[in-house]
Amino acid sequence: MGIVVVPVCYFLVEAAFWTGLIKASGDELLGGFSARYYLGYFLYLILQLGSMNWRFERAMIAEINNGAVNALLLRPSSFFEYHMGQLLGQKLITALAMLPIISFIAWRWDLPFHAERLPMVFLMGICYVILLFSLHFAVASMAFFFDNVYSLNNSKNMIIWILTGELMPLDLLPSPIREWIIALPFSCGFYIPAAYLSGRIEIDVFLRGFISLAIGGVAFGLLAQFVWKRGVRRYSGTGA
Amino acid sequence: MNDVVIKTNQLTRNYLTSHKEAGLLAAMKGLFFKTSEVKHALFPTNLEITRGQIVGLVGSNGAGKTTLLKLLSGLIFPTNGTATVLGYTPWERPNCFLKQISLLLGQKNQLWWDIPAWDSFHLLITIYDLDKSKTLKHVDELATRLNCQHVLKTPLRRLSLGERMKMELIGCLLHSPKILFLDEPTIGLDVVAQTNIRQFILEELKGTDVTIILTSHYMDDIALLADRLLLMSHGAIAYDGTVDDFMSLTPSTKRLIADFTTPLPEELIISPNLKIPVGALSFDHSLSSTELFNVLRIITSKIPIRDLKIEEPDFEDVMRIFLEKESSLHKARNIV
Repeated sequence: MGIVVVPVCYFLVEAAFWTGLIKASGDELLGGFSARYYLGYFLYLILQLGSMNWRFERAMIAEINNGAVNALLLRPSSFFEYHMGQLLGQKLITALAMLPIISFIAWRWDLPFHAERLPMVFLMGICYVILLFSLHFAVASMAFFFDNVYSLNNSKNMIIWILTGELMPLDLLPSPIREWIIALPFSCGFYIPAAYLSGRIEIDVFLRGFISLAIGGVAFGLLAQFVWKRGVRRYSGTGA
Repeated sequence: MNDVVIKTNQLTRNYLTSHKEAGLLAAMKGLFFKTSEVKHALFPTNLEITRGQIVGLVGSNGAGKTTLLKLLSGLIFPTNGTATVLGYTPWERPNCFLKQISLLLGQKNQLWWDIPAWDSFHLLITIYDLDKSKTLKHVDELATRLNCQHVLKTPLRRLSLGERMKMELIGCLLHSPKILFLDEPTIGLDVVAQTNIRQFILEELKGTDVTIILTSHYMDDIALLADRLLLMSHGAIAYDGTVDDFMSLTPSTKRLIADFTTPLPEELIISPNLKIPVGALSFDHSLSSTELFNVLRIITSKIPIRDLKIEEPDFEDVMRIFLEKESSLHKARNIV
């Protein structure tokens, strides 16, 4: 039930906020877009592909802190793959389960929604999940070095929330900050796929997102591997 | 069955531990001026263990038993030295090595807490790439042997400690490991559960090709199961041999326990070093074989006895005496 309720609630909160904001402004448009377009933009929330899932990060940090990681270190499976497998599985199941709901909402309220663009959006979503997980993994691995990394993790998540465009569409940022942030791979977490799905941007901008995803994926992947290897080397087998 | 499966050469592990005084000011100071100390958890250790041996690893808390176990299983890296386990360097943790070993931690669950053990076993079958039907049959046999089939499908967190330990043991044996590291497998269990686990290990694993390294504070575990005893003290191996040879190390003593019918009316001096105070209702002392007869003769002639017992020292007593001696020798070395 959580798979359905959480994304829908999330969307309803954003829908209420932006509709209220535009009405309060007394103008039909905000940043050049109508309320209908903002609702179309935030429809992507329901798929939950780009949204953070703090549960897995907290679980990784807790496992390193309390020694539960021992069980995974001594089994022929990788800690990275173990958690990423769970995260990818959860994201895919949520996204597939929410497809009928997102289609219904878009149809019922005549929101801008290009269903034919969904396969490419899914692909970007999966690539982004892998990139983001690598960053989460690198930060969680710092639990080998520090007693408490939860505040570092929370701060990282707050910043990413803004950089992805999940808090607000990146269109609303002033130039040149807008262009710099869109160029970062984090915009592929929400802004680029949501804007593409709702028709705010076209294929050229969308495809450029894959380039930053690829560069970011390699960078965060290497960072994750580096921090993990250093951390495991100094690990003292907590709890054993 | 004589090939060496575990070999270490000058294997060493030190830990850097930091100290902090209580209070906010000390915490602030600790940010910039941290005091640290090197703890020698394991001094350079050379060891060889052959296939099929059950090695009992004992010692007081902080002796280095679990550190040695963690190094040999590959959980931690050494500070110095080398080790090979089944031909692999354990801390490199290649998958082909991990598929041949298992570590059971008595103080920590390794199965998934929120799901039944049955589900966990299915997950382990995938992780270890095992034949599903064969492995599930093996699970069934082990569960029958441990008398815990009825709780296989109950979430792990709802099981008692004894039942959880049985599930952990099955989880460890699922992939038929060649080396089993058991770190206090009977800790916290009631007497019946301890006996069940011990009997299981004795009947299912002793005498097979499986090499077992067992740490325990319960001497009954070691006395019953171990072919070889490694006694650790302050990071080094203080004794390496069989349990029987270890028992013969201590001077022959017996424990004399006598209960008197009435309180002693006046002090009884048996020897300059041995006196029974006035008002005593019993006598309980370890004596050498030569002293025993003389003391017995004096007590029985001077005091009306209600009950009399003469006990041989057991393994636990011998261990305690040995560890106390080691501890005082270690203190003396540190003072010097």
